[in-house]
Amino acid sequence: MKEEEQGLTTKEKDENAARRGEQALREGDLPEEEERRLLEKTWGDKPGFWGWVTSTNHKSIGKRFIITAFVFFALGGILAALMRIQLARPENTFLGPDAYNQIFTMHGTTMMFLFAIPVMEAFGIYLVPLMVGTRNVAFPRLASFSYWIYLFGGITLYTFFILNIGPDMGWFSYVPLAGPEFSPGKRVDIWSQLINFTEISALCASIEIITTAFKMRAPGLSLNRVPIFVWAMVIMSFMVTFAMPAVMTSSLFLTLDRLVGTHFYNQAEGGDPLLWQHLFWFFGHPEVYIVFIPALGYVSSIIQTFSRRRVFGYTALVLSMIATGFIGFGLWVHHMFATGLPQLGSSFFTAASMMIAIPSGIQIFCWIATLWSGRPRFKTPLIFIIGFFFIFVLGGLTGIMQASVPLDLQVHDTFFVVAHFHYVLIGGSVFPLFAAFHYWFPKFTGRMLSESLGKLTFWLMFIGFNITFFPMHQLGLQGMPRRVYTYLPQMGWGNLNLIASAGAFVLTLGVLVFVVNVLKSRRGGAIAGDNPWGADTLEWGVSSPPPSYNFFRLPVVQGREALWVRTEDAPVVEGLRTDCREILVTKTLDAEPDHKLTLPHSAPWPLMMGLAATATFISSCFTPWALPGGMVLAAIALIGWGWPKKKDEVCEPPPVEEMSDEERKREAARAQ
Amino acid sequence: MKKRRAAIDVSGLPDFAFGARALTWWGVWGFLCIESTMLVLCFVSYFYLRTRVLEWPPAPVMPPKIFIPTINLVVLLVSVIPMYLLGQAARRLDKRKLIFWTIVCDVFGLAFVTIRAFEFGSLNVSWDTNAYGSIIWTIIVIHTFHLVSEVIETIVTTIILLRGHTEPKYFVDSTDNALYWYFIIGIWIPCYVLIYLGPRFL
Repeated sequence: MKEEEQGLTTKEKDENAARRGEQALREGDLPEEEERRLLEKTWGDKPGFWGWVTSTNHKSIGKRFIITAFVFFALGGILAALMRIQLARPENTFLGPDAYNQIFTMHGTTMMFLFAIPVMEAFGIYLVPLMVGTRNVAFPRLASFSYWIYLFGGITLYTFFILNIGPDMGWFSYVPLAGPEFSPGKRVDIWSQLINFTEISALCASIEIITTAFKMRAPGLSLNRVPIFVWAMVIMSFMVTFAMPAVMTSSLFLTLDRLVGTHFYNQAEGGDPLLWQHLFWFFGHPEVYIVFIPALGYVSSIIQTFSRRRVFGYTALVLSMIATGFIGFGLWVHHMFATGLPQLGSSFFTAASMMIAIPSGIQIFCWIATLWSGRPRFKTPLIFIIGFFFIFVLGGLTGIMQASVPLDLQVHDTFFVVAHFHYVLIGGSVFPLFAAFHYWFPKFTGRMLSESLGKLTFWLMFIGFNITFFPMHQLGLQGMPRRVYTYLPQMGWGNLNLIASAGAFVLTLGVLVFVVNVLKSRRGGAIAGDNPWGADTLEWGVSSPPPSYNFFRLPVVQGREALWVRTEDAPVVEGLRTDCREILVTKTLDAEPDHKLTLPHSAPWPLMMGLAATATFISSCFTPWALPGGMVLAAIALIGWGWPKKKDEVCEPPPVEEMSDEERKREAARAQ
Repeated sequence: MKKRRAAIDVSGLPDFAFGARALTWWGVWGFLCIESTMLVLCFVSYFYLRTRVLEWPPAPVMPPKIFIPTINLVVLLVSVIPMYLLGQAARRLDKRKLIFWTIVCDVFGLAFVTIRAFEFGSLNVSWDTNAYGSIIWTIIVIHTFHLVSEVIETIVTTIILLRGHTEPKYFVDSTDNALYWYFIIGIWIPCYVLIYLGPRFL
């Protein structure tokens, strides 16, 4: 090989290692069975509780993430059911006003920050490394930290909620209501700290996904062959990177106003409550696309697999997702039409809001073309996708209606808006997510979900959803405001509310059937095999569930639909160490092999860092001294995280000190 | 496994690489994007709050004193030179020079943190006086937070190197550390303009 002429040869390196009393084992050194055992030992989690806590394997972390997110989905759902019981008839006394305020705030916060974003990231952490053909994510300890801080954030929020210190000012926490004057006590502070937990978790996961997708793709997987799912995850991650800092900034200002008496949102001292709305929605609108773009990835994967043909318009689909990502940042003011902004500004944002229909339209047509010209198999995942089309298009239509300022002013803060965003979010995000869950469940567990229960889940959810939310359009047009805990019988809203509540019951039943299906199939479902759906992406080329090291040999990708175009004699990658967590780093555009890298071992430090951050965030509800204190704790955890450890050194390339001047120059030249 | 498919043998590839080839470079850039966005949003808020009042700073607050902050700005800008040399030494895998320049950078780092402590006294306003005070204090505190973390990181790197660890990854980490340092200096320029010049000219 050419490189060997310039740098240390494999033999020289192994000799160096032998000098240090080690023996490097590489792929191909051992018989296959033994090598699989060694890879399992190298990449697997240690047994027992300690192994569970310290795991840095993307599949263990991804699975936990998904399960935790679904638990929060269930909690948010229970809160929603309580609200529907309260609103089922006029002047109901099931919940008082204060409990109702806390419950709707907790419902929104849970669904947005503890369910929607994390579950999307979780699918990315689990699937991206498998789809791009590598053995773990780029920064495994960061992935682990990302999970812990998310878990602790959720636990913190619910602990305070149970102690009757739950936030009660709505999930977007408008000032001055959320300011120090109108919300004394700690309720708002808990909310703004929860924002810190979630945003840090999401930001870490995003960097993880971007780096993994750009630098760790298997040879041959050039950018124009990357699965659309991976593109969707990358675009989502970029959006998180640039949108999340806005909510970080706005909640920092809010915390400072409440804790140390700054005046960001205080009109009397030169501040402005509208600054909150601008900053919050600069995050809040992209957020809608943060939870929607991954769904586009699920839809494209599932449609391709079940139409049994390559997806129509790959380039158009990817470009329109990127366009959506950009336009998503230009829409935030349409949440603020009722605040009396200059007309020119409103017109601009109306135009931008309508413009987003263009890339969305392109996507829908590409999918229809794929289904039309393919041979579709209507299995549960595809049926959920068809449901997505129906619901999401309805939500999109009311969206276009509200992009116009006069109509928006009329229905602002009514149940019409509630109906609209549930159509968009449940249609655009939850239905594709359920499709994705049914689709990848065989890969996660090695078992198939029951088709009949799956279809029953779909119909209950689809019918229940429409019965619940469709009447809300009408309620909104009749003037029913959102966030009221009850209403008078004379308003005439009773019947539609009763219907909506009945629908919520059906929807809940659908989710229960889903839970039963999962629990039953987890142990007793049909054995899935490697590729039960005949899909094309790389994760279906390994066993279900995948081994801890993902690929026995890293694949070499020959075309866009990796498994469909793979030939009998497809080459593989060989020569990575099997006794160390060595991975292959490839070039950004064409994924040519570039260099090798050893990923760090499992460690408790991400957990420690999570605990340090949790202590800091909770105490900063009470005292500004939490910040310096937290810095000390975080510094300790981070130094522990990065401190050189004996067991890592074994796998590191030889220290510079042991090289001769000649060798050092050669190595340095090759590393530029 | 004697009989096998054609294979791409990667065992001869380098074990590490600098710059955009390295994963850590991507990680550092990711965090730079996040932190720059946060600071840029603070700048935007600064201009937004400027439009809410007639005078900047609102009377009777005086504009900040400018002498110590300007000295600190110069020290910060000069520190680019040792940081650059540190990066070069790291890229050449030159352990001796790397340690030397890392120590020089530690001295610079401690110098700014010390001068920064006096800079707070130059602001002539408290964070709870008005929104103007709130935003300039927030910008400077966020920047100081980054500065202190970076100085701690450089010192920890020095200790690791002095303890005799010379695995190539510490050389790669040093170049990423330099990248972060450039960011902290680069982003301070608009911060300086807004905090110290803005109240004189806006």
